[in-house]
Amino acid sequence: MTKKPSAQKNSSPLATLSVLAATLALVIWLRHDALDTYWLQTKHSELGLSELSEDSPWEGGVRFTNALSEALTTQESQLDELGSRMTLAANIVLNGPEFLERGRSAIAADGKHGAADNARPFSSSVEVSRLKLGQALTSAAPTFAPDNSMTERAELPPLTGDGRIVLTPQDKVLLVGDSMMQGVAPHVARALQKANISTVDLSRQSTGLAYPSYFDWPATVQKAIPTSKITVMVVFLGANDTWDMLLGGRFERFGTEKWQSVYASRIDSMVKYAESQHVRVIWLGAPNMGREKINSGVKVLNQLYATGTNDGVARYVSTREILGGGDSDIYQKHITKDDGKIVTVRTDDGIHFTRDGQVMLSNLILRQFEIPTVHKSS
Amino acid sequence: MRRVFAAIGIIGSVLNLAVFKYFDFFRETIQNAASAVDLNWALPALDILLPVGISFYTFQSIAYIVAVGRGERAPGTPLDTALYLAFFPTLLAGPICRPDVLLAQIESKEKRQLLQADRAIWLILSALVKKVWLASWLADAWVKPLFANPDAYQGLELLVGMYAFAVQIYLDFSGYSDLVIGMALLLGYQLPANFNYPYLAQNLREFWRRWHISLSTWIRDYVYIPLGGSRKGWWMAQGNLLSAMVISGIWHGASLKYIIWGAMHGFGVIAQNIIEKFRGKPVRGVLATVITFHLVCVAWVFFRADGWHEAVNYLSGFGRFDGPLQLNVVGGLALLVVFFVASYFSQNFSERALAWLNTMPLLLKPLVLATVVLVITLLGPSGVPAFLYYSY
Repeated sequence: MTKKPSAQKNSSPLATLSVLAATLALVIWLRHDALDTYWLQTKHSELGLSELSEDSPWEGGVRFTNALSEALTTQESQLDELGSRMTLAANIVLNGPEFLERGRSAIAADGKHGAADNARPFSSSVEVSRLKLGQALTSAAPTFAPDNSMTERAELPPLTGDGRIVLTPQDKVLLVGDSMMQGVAPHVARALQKANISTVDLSRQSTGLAYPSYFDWPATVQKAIPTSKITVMVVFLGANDTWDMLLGGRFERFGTEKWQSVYASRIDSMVKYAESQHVRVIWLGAPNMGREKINSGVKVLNQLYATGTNDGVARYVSTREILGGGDSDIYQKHITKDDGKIVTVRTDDGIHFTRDGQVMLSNLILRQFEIPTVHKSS
Repeated sequence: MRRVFAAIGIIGSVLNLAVFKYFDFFRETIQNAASAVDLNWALPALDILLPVGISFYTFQSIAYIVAVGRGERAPGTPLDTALYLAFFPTLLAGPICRPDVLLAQIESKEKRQLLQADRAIWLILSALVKKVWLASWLADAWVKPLFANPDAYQGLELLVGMYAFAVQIYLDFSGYSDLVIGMALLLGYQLPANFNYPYLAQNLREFWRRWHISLSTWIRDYVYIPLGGSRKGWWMAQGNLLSAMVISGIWHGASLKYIIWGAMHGFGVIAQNIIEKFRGKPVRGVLATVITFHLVCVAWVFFRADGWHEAVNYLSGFGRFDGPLQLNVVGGLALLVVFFVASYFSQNFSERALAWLNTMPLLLKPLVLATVVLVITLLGPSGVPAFLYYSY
């Protein structure tokens, strides 16, 4: 490695420190709103860097950042569009010109997400024989819905006699949640994929319903359900929500009546929106936690989840029993299975799950479904 | 006598590491083995919290004990040695420093100078670009969805996903190393380089001279050579090589997938040695570079997947071409080409950017740096990303 002689000479500590400090100050000026949000979401208290008056010089940094962010987003969406055109082109090369005829209408109808979201076979008819669809999925020539307006499901996925949701390859399952869901989602996705049922996993760490300024689940769900044509939504969150909320510039203590009513309204907006789109909701309760503050909190949250999902269309599924090794009230890191073996189900942080724990929760979700058996032709 | 103490120290360090890292793994193995011979043992599951950085300070302590045991250096004072083991920038995930590099700098009586501040700033910016923007984007867009549910995608997409993880882990880990080396420079310490454009390696042996250099040289000096190295003939050397690679795999985690990862590299280097023995000249060239990269990538699939079953399932998807593409594989492959071209010219570019940074007026620097930081954070996915190597 050749080093320029100028790089070898000692630098002045004061000058370097000043450069770093000035850079840091500038970054804070440009992004103090993001720091506020971060502080709220991790420390659950107010950092208070943002001022109320929007046109002060201090807020100018944030205005500049937002303008730049918008410009970048425009660039990004142009890139996305280019990307979906490239995907379409690749599909035409791979699958022949008939792909173009079907793909073009999809692009026109659905803008930039067209190619990606219409790429999987989709039909509105529930009566299509499962075997036939299985074959369609594995055959080389993809089938496409000719018209986008037909793809919206007009009714809820049906139930079996014992209350399980009947899934067919036309169904699409949305997985929503925080880092608890992030561990469980891949197991669910893999199992459903075996029956040719696709999933959309939006789970994201550190999210919840308490800090919409950090991450807004109701808004995310309202966007995802129509774009991805979701028919079932599974929600598993709460680990980040047992804290005070910032409401109208003031902190509302966790668990107060007002806190609960605001939180419940957020649950309600997700559930009601899903139901209006003929989407069934499975809402998993949070398990017992290894940390006392969070553990007492999730009991309150679980109550809100349960009452927010008791309309017969949405359902609440408790996770405390299965991870409690029979005792639903006690946090268990290890549980003894029927054969006497001890399995570790929780990680050291007292919140997340080991692989064994994830599989147990995944199976709990899968038990809510009746899944068709598809024989893939190789 | 000194050698006895050194041996006790090394055994103690390794046992300490093994208990923390592998107890739960061996607990289940012993439990299963016991039940196979009709013993119904229910071994207690201990609540063991893995101490921060245990792997990395264990490596450094072994290097120190060996150096003292061999009489290569005098023992350091307790405080100096403690700082050497718990040096803040390198504590979490290396680079693994040797006593003659780090401890010697700690012990130096000279006044500590701030060296190459611009290089430090450049390294930190490089870390931000690699980690906050590129590696995080790759993880979200290409790696996570494909590895979480490979059956939902077809061969071409899985292929690009495999490349994407190779690039992700490089950007993640080399970005981390840039950050640490930059921070240490600001504190007045010079640390060894940990990466040297590994995917430009023309063969597997060269790859290991360019990837995680501080670990591969540590494994060479404290595992491969003590096992016998190449002193007992060619065939023994190959066996030692394989053992060293497998041990490196086991260090990453007590799981079969890491052992397979290590063994693939071991057999790969042995294959290279055999080819070179018969051809009489080293493996080099563009084709060799491409083959090397692909071997490394396939091994990474085992490293990344949840388990070896999942890795095999992922790889078996390469032959599946049913269903239309959902991801922009053409764009993905184009980005891979960009990555290689950028790697090729990166060194040159770094030197020029550094020279430019050197001549930049002091007052302008914060403006430029803040703008770069702002753009990186806006381009990267939101949230605080964790480094992949923090779990080892």
